[in-house]
Amino acid sequence: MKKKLVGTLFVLGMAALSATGCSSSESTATSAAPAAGENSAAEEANTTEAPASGEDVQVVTFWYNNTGDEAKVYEEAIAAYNASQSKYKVEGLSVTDAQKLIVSMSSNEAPDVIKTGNQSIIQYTKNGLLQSVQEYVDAESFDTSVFSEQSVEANRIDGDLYALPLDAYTIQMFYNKTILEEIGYTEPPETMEEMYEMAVKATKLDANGNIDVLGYPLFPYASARQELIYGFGGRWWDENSKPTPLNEGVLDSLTMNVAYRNEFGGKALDGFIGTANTNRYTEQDMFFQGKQLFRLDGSWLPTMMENFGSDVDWGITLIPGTEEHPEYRGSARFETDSIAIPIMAKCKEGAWDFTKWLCSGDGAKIIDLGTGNLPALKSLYDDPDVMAVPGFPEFIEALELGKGVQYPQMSDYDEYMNLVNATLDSIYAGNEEPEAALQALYEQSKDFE
Amino acid sequence: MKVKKTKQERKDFLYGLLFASPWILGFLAFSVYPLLSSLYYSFTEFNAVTAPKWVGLENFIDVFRDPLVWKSLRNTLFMAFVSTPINLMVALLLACIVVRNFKGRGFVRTAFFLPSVIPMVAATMVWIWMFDPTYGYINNVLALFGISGPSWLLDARFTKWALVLMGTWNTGTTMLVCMAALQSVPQSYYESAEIDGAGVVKRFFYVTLPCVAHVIVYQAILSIINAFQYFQQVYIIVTANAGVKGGSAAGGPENSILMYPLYIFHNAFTYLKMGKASAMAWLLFLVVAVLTVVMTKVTKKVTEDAGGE
Repeated sequence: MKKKLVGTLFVLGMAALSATGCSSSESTATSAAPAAGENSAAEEANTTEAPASGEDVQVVTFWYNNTGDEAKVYEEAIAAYNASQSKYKVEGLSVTDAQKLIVSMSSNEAPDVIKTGNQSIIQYTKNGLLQSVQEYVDAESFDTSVFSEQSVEANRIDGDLYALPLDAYTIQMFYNKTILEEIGYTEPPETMEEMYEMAVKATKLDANGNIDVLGYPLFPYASARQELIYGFGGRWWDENSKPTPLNEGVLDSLTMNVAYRNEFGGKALDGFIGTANTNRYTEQDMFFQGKQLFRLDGSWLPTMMENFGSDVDWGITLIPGTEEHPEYRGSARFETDSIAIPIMAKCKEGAWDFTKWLCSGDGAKIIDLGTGNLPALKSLYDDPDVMAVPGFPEFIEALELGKGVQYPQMSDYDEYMNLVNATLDSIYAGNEEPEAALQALYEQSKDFE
Repeated sequence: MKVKKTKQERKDFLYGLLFASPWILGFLAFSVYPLLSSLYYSFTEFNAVTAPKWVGLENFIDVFRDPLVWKSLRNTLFMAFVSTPINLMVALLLACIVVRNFKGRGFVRTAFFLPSVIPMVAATMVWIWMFDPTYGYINNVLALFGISGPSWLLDARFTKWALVLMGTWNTGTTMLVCMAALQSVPQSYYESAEIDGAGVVKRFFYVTLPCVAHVIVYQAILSIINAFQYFQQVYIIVTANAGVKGGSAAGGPENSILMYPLYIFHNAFTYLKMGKASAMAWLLFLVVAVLTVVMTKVTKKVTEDAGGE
């Protein structure tokens, strides 16, 4: 009998031990790491300490998709919010893996607040994952006009606001003044035709036929897919978010890109672009090394160049228009980093309070200055600290033109972009003529919504 | 005739069950339940968060109509049936080298095996650098022979071959298995063949190869099944190349390295089409199951021919 009892207790003990061992990973914010990417452990080192739980203090969990020094900036903002009031305590966590966010939402373990790009806001909203913040805005008569109109529109889906804009993001054209002068120009181009002429003159090949200096801004390809096309008035989607690959501006832009590729050889270009991509945003970045005449990039580039000690004499100008349509000049993508509340958030009131503070209070300035992103808050447009950041005055001027191209409200956006990229690859590789490739793309994507 | 279990046997069985219960519960919760759930989801429209909606066979029809499914399947088959034989040949060649007696054999063995213990993520990142068109080692070595190397990871004609090349670097485990098989070939066979006048090449094809054929076939089966789960390397490459491809990291240039598992992943977690991803996963399961049965029969035949059991 005694033997039987001991045996039973032993077995139960083993089972209990095993069960206890399996459940320990979810005990704290820092240890919860289901199915994340390879670097999640490193990411999660950037976490705020769990606050001592007071009686009336409600914990608000906040996931942001930044790492390294940028994560520290978010932690600084969180600490400032926690110090500014005593009702809520925000716990931050760096999560760059979108998969982890989806998994957390599906298992009802979602954070109360998330920071992500507005394209993800659209996709999540289309899938019913986000809480509309419109009701909070209406209930409190929250004044959204403190933000730029474009940044509010970027987060409005089917008439309702689903996130507040934290910062803004656009692309303009950087140019190397020294190279420009070497080829006989004193001013940057205002039209695509002028830009092409300069690009051809500036492109240098070495003895092996490799490109030493890239004149035409085909790197990064993302800009070739967007800004070079917007400058021709082209759009990949219409105002109803339906795919429009047969748009005339798209074809005109691709024709110019292909002409440049043919002039200097696709292999030489791919070689340059491949290396440029490996070294992007490092000390060896091609623009920082003076090997690119034009570079379509964001507002953070001047600060990076300064940090890497680049001695390139650079300037910023608007994305060119065309001779026929100079009014297209300055057209570029417009995106925001946004703060949203998942539909399954447990502390929605606290989430809204933090969202408001981060986007429209002191938080926005901490984030904008710390991460090098442009403000979405209009009041920061003439803030002396913001205007002192290299490149910001030019970018803010570009933002104020209001020519930003917004993401489509298309739930199949990622699939569409995959097809667009594959089509561009095929055109650039010389496998297909642009007209035929775009027609095929249209056939494949016409039913996307 | 049914034998009735004694009281003690029943008790032992229950104890056994209790001891095994942690594993059984884990298996039910983490293998059987997800498996059955995914089967159910394959018949639904489901984004992983909101309630699934029954759509019947719609996901399967979508899978068969999607050209990228077929492209990803072709890419995967390439890795299974082109990369696998090459890797096996390399592993066998390396095994033939390290099985011989020479000074520094231990070091060479370690050097050949070492890549297998390096985490795949780190190894892939290193290979991305090695494939750099301008500064990469691969093209620099080719340049020594007067060959202008391609843009390995940007030119759709070369991307899969880049993966094949990467695969040959990681054949240490297969090399070890082949080495063990080579060591088990009786020395007397070689002596007899030598007396009959067989040279090195003939001894390899008429003695070594038939004796280790069953091991090679078994390794081939494992490699082919593994190839259908080829994910990590391409995921890292397309993510690292996201800047080049425009931020929409899907399947590399012209989707030339969009492997079937990667496309399942994109459907599940990028496009939030968990239903379609589940349907794709079940079709993959069926293909792998059929292949496994066929290849098991082949192994059995080869093993029997080689005099094994």
